[in-house]
Amino acid sequence: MPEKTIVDASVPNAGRIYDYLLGGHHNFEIDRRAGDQIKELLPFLPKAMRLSRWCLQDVARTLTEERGFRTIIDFASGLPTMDHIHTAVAPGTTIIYSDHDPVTVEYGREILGDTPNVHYFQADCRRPEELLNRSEVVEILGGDRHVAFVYWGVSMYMSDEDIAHVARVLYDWSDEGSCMAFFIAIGNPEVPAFAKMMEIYRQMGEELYFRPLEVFKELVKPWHSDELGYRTVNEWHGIEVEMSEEELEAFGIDYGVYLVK
Amino acid sequence: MNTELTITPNLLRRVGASGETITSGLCRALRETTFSNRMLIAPRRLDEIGKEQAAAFLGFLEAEDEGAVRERGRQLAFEGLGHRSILMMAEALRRACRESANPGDEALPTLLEAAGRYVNALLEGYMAGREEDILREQERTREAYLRARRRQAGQA
Repeated sequence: MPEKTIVDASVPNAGRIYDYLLGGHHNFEIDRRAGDQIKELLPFLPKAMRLSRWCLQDVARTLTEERGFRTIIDFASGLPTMDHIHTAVAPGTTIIYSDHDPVTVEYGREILGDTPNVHYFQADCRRPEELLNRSEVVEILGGDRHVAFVYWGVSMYMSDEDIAHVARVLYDWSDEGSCMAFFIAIGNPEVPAFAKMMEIYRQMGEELYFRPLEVFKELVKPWHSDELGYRTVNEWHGIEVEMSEEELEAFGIDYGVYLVK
Repeated sequence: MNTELTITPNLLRRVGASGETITSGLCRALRETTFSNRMLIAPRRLDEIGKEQAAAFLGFLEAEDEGAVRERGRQLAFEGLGHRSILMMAEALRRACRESANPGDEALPTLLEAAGRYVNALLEGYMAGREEDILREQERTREAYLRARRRQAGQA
């Protein structure tokens, strides 16, 4: 996200548009106008975003209660509202949230207050080493490298090179048995409305990236999926979401996965 | 000031026996409006809300505590329930009450009045909660901006 737009309320901001499309109030008129433009092009988009966000609590429970992780490091966290990871984890879990947007970080810290074991730092999800090398984070982890990473709802902001970099850095940094929960947005830039949305983001200085699932699988190697494999969002929620043929062509079907080392 | 409802024990029993119909009507209404809620409410929470609302309505018939219903509406707003969901739920409740009575049932007007009062109190609380929520978030956003600006200025 370009620095110039970060605390600037006079230009639309991708994070605030995301918040608006999800029904939040952490946005401004300029974001809502851009959001409405996007919604008009792709009416299914807010549904697709909700389907992704709703998985977070499942992810939190699965990682801590079923798989026993005591530390979760979440990238591009957004606002830690009451649906977020720290509300659904097993007691005693340490959560490290992070986001590139300093306003989101400040807001997030206020929401969290003095919630025990939950921390929030400013960091770029595309450069996880910056977060992991922060002295505060090093101290919090106390040498623990058996952790669960979460990259949820952010793949569209990451180029192929970014994803490959993240996968490599986190694989090298973490201990055997670590895990990375990843949400993969599948979009089709060939569809005119989708291409137009990408253009709107481009004008805001935000490039969006989509790739087929098979390409993603290659990028994240040597991480491999767990026994559950890559699951569609419908499978995550156990619901059938009706999509028109046009929506299916534009959005494809998004996936979530637990990658393991 | 609302007059006291004349909910007889017999009517209470009958409505109580329709509890499952009320619950399923509310759950269906909530599922139909899944995407109108804020991101905070995952689909699996909807059935729980439906059950809670059905139980709350039955409780209201006994206690007639409109304050408790308003508070429930307020909490639903905080939880992120969308306005379409709450309106659909209100409609589902009225429909379930109508369906639980026999044709020409003398108790039907009382039951519908009770449902009307319940819904009004729920909506009143919901609207108050929404307003409270928006104002709180507005203030948080303002504070966060100021702090971020100060921090950036300090780093410059």
